[in-house]
Amino acid sequence: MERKIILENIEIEGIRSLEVYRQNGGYKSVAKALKTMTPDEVVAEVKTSGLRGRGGAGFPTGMKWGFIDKKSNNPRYLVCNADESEPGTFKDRYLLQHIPHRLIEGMICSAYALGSNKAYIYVRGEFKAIIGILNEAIKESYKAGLLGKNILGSGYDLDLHVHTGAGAYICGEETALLESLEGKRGNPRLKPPFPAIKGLYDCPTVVNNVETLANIGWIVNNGGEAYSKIGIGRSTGTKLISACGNINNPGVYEIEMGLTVEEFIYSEKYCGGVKGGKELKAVIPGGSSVPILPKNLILNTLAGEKRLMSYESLSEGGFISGSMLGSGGFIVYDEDACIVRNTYNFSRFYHHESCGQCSPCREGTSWMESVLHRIENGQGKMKDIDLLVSIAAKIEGNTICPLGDAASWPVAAAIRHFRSEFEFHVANPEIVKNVKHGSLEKYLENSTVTVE
Amino acid sequence: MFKVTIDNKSIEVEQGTTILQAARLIGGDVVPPAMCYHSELKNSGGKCRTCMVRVAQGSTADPRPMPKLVASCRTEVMDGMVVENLTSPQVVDARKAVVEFLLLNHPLDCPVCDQAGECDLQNLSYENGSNESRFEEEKPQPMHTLLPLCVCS
Repeated sequence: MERKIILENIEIEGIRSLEVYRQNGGYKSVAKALKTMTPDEVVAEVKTSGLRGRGGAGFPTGMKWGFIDKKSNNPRYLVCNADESEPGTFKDRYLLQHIPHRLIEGMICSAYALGSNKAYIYVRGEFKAIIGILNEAIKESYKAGLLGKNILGSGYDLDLHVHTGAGAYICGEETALLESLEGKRGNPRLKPPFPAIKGLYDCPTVVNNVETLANIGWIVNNGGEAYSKIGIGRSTGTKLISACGNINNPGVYEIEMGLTVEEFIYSEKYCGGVKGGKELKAVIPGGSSVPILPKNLILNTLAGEKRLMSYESLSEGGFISGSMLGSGGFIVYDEDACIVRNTYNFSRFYHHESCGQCSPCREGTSWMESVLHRIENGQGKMKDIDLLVSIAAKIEGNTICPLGDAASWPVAAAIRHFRSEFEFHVANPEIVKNVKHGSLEKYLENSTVTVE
Repeated sequence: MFKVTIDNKSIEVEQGTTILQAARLIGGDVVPPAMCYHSELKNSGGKCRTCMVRVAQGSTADPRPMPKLVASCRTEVMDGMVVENLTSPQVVDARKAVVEFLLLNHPLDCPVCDQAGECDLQNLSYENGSNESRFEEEKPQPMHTLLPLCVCS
């Protein structure tokens, strides 16, 4: 099931430049959309395609576009969210670095569909090299008449700007991104009103992920119907998965939705199995925010079916026995990985990145971090484990933006599936202090310590 | 005029009124506590999360409940809205959680604090807090709390 939509032609040398990109069929969709289709027809094609947001939440893109306030006399904006900061996710960076025109092509079609004459790409501040690449690509497009006034003689104008963030994770949340784009501190806004009604400068705005927008060109060229046939069920199309961790071939892969997780991990075409011939221990399938799953639950669902790489299959069983596809940051852990240390690392990240405006997230993330720091360093108590579960449950759902949920899910899931490992850390502070990595089974095999 | 029901008590209010303002018009136990909202401060509120309530019915036109608890100080009422404050165990639990979070890094020097006795935070924790703290880490030195309405110094 190999099919390339976004990374098509990526192996061609010089595809980063406009000339080579156009020689290989690039920007055909722009001419098609602007000259032969009305904006509503483009929106209709995207609705038919069943394309879902690739940033993590998986909200249908066509539906999101449909929410935009058409009655408003204010200008409309399209914003591309390239603030990819989720630990474990690096798919957008790869796409922008190698084939930036794929995004610009998709953005022209999308902006046309939304009736927007100004679009922004909000790039993460750390992506210094990519900002240069994007600016270069935009300059080429302006010269070729693909951006600016009267694009390809169609009478449609579009200005595209690159805006650089300053490296805050929270600015990947769409309303915080808009605040940051306006020049303010990146604090998420209270919703409603949603950005489709009151977004950038209080004007109707659509914020989409890089990968989502990169799909639009193909959908315009080949039709929504053709796109909806790729993939499985409601998870249509392909997905970029950034695989990392203890695997033989880390990297970015484009897969058709519906591939089994087992094949993705063990096939030579993809991850190529666990590094060093070790045993698979756990997988985080969608970036650090989504729940971690142990080997038996990531390969098969609780009902015994093979788990597939799709929105539905990965979330089957809810958070009891499932996870989420999320942003596609596929992190694999081998038998020697320490889940407690990993969870502490994540909670430290979320504490650092919490914007601090609402109390459950500001106080809760720092509390979770200090409790996990205690456990990791051999000063934990048994009641701390239940305390962590309780804190996570109290943050979840009580915050302004999803960062609170994202901080609590990994902690709750790690304890749900690897409770014995946390207990081992509490019961054996000496071992924990001296040995930083290694799994519970290995400690037990090599020593006489027993867990009570 | 919009009709809104909070904890089984109904009132008719103007369009654009928030749930908190409507609750204050009813008065009594239905008023959720609010620590970061002040009616005179533009765009205040929504941050401390103590005023969260459950919207059991969005409006007469769209009777679906809201999926999450909402900050009553920033949510405007709709016609026929049904709101649960103390009648919802979920709200009571969430409020207890928020109070616990608010007190985590608060010095709790009430016995020697000038504000004691006239302190909204003290009242809030008296009504919704727990007698025991689960926070074992070192508390920071006395500092201003991050809530604008709390003036203990």
